[in-house]
Amino acid sequence: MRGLLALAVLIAVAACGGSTDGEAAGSDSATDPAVTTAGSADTAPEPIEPAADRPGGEIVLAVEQWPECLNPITSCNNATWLSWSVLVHIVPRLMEFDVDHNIGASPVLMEAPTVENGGAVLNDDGTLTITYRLNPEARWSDGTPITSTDVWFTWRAIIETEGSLNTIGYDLITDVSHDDPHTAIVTLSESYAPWRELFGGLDGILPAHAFDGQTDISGHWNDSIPISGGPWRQESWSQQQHILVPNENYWVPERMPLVDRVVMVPREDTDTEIVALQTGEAMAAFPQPFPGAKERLAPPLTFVSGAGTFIEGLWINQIAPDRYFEITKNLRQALAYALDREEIADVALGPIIDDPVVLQCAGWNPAFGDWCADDFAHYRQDMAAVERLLTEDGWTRPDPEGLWVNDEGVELVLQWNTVAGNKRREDVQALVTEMTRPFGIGWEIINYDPGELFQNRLPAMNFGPVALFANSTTPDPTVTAHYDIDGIPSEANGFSGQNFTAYASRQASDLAFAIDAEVDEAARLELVRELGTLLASDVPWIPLYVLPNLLAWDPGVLEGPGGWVSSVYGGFYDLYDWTVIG
Amino acid sequence: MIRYAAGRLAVTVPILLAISFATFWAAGEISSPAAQLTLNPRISPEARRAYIESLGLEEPFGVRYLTWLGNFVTGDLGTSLVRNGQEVWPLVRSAMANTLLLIVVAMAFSLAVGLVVGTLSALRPGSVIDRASTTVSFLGISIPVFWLGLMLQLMFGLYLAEWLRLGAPLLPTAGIYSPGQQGFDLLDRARHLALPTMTLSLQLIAAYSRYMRSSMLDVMGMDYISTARAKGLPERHVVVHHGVRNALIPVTTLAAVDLGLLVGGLIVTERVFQYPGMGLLFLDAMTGGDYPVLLATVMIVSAAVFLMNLLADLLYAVLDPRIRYG
Repeated sequence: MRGLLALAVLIAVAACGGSTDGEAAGSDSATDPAVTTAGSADTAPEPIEPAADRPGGEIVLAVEQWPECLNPITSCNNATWLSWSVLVHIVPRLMEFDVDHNIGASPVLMEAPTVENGGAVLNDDGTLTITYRLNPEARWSDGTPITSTDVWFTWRAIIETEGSLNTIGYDLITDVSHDDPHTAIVTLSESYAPWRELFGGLDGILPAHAFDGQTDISGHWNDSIPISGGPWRQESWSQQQHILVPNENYWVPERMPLVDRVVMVPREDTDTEIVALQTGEAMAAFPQPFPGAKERLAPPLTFVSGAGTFIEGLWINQIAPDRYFEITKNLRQALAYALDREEIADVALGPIIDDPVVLQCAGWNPAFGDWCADDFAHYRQDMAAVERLLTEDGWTRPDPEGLWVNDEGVELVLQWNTVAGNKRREDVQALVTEMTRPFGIGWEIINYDPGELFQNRLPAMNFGPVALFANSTTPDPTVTAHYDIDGIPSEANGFSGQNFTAYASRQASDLAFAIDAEVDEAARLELVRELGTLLASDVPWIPLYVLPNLLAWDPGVLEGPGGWVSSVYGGFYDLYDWTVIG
Repeated sequence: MIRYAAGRLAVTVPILLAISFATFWAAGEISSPAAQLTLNPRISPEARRAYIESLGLEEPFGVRYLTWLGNFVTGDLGTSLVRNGQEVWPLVRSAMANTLLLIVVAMAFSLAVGLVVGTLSALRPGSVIDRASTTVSFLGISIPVFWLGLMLQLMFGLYLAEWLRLGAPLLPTAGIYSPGQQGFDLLDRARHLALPTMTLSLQLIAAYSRYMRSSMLDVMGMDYISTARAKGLPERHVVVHHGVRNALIPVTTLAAVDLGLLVGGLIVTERVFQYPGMGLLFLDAMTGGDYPVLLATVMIVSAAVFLMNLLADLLYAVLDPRIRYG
């Protein structure tokens, strides 16, 4: 029994701890002295004194999706709320988006690298070199300077961490020179148009000295992030609450928080979340759009809505464990022809915004440039098309009022997952269930808590075949993460990647990579159009609408929210500027 | 009594074993641990291998069952498959403590109110009190818990605060302590218990008052009640010592069984009030395929139901002097 107990402990340690795989963690990382000495390379500056004029107070926020773990590199980071409620306030980035979605230097950099200033150079041999000049004042919350070693370490960690969520772009990096602590020279093996979002955008950099030289960090930072490089640092995190306090070592005076503490509490049921706001138990919330929003967020509450950065649709997992038949192209197209997407958009968003618009492309956001075309516009409810497509695939409909049946007698019923308690999505499920009944398509609805769905099931492809959820977009038209043929999470690749539809099209994958490699805007647009047409034919997922963002608060107690409602960093991003009234 | 209790416990052991077997089989059917391990994106191949060996997943069913049972009875509930290798026992212990606290408070409140209302109704059948309690009871039994929870949240969190111009919610609407609270605060904890307790209690009060009324009506018609009155005992004595005490027997059975069932049956209430108890833990384990947590929660609830049934039987003897176990 003692042996079993010891084994159980061993397993727990192994599951939580870093890999002992020598090749992964050992070769050039664990032994690199620069990693372990980075913290002592420079004399740590004295902490900045707390702002004497800080108004103080405490802000309480309701958070509708609570992460199960915090690791910024593994599948934990597949939950957007990890980014919105934790990472954007703590993890520093090299380049970052402003409120208008332009990407530029963050306070970690002295300036943004550009072609003009020689910071971004496409070399004659086809390689790309980016030179980041780091701000000497930038430092971690423990006083250790943020250096090029941290950039190098982050690169290795993203590549070598077991279950790294997304290595796209980072796998093109051949070297990060970190000889000069204040200059990181990143070399990519080929041109990569979205290079600004490497170590930036929604990604960030990690403190090398915090991981004892281990570059597989899968066992670290799962339930706390002890070191910050942002305006806030984490005082505590649990399944009950998340407390942020000002990072007194933050070096940007204009982003020093004005309140003493921010407390985030989980309110995962939409009704409970809004009640918390109405009762004053929470001062602000960033809820997903929900039916009745205008009425329930009426004065004394207020809210702003803005163009969102999330595109929502029906994501079709072609290798779902619980599929009862092959999810063929014909079947996917038939499903698209069975939907009235305008009605779905009306039901989902009508109570929140005027004239909801159907999303007609599979990967791009109409709010960002001209990348999104009308690729899916021909998918309108069409019984003849459904009958033709399913009949071609061998389905029959013995009872004209019943479900389609295949040659093995299996009815056309698809398991459908979404977030439990999300009223908008549950309304869409109810609507679509009725909508597709005349078309002979049935549903088995099983919904999950957001942490379970986004941090466990999606990264393991253990969902669906159909799931209703939203995916984030950024201004750059890169869609490689969605369509990389090698990015289908599997045991073989350590569940790395975000191609959650298991869309295994070499052509689409190559086009996605070509879009990333093309720096000429017009040529890029052509490639995007070509990929868009292919996606509309293959239907890896069915786009429905752009999700508007909604930030609600009580203006009687809180001043400052609203400016970043449409930001990729979420409506809570500028918490440092918020103040408590009274 | 002691011999009877020991005898019942002895019978309970094989029944619990049978339940453990059924639970182990059913949990494996619902949530394949091997599949979950394979599909957990955060378990390394080495850890997965070790876990499969420790759970004996490649062994025959009987060996697996005995391995798990051996671990379970020695207090080793294993580690969660989805929560970054957290041990199951601390998860269950924390959830069980929260749920037990909620149940004990709700049961005590419900019994106190339900028995008094039921007794008063039975003593004056057809009176205003009886008709009112009957109406309220049927309402209480009919109202869905999720709706009642939401209404109570609005009433005590919002409307009463507005009407009374309190400026703050009369009672907190979710969680187990106030945002930012660190360390234990009895008053804060009690305030957070109030609404979940009310939600649970309404249905329990309705049920107990109906049972008590019915039981009390039967008892008050018995010969020994007439005899007691004929002996000139004061009516209060007759009601309390001869009426209520005997009428309590069926209600006690019901309450004891409820107590066991409630340990695992608070899913809706705990979800609405974001209350981290056994119901939420069970739900998470069920939907998340967390096999060790699922097994532990089901087994503990099964054991609780049996123990509470035993408690109910023993209480029979205490409440009714005619009942003696030999």
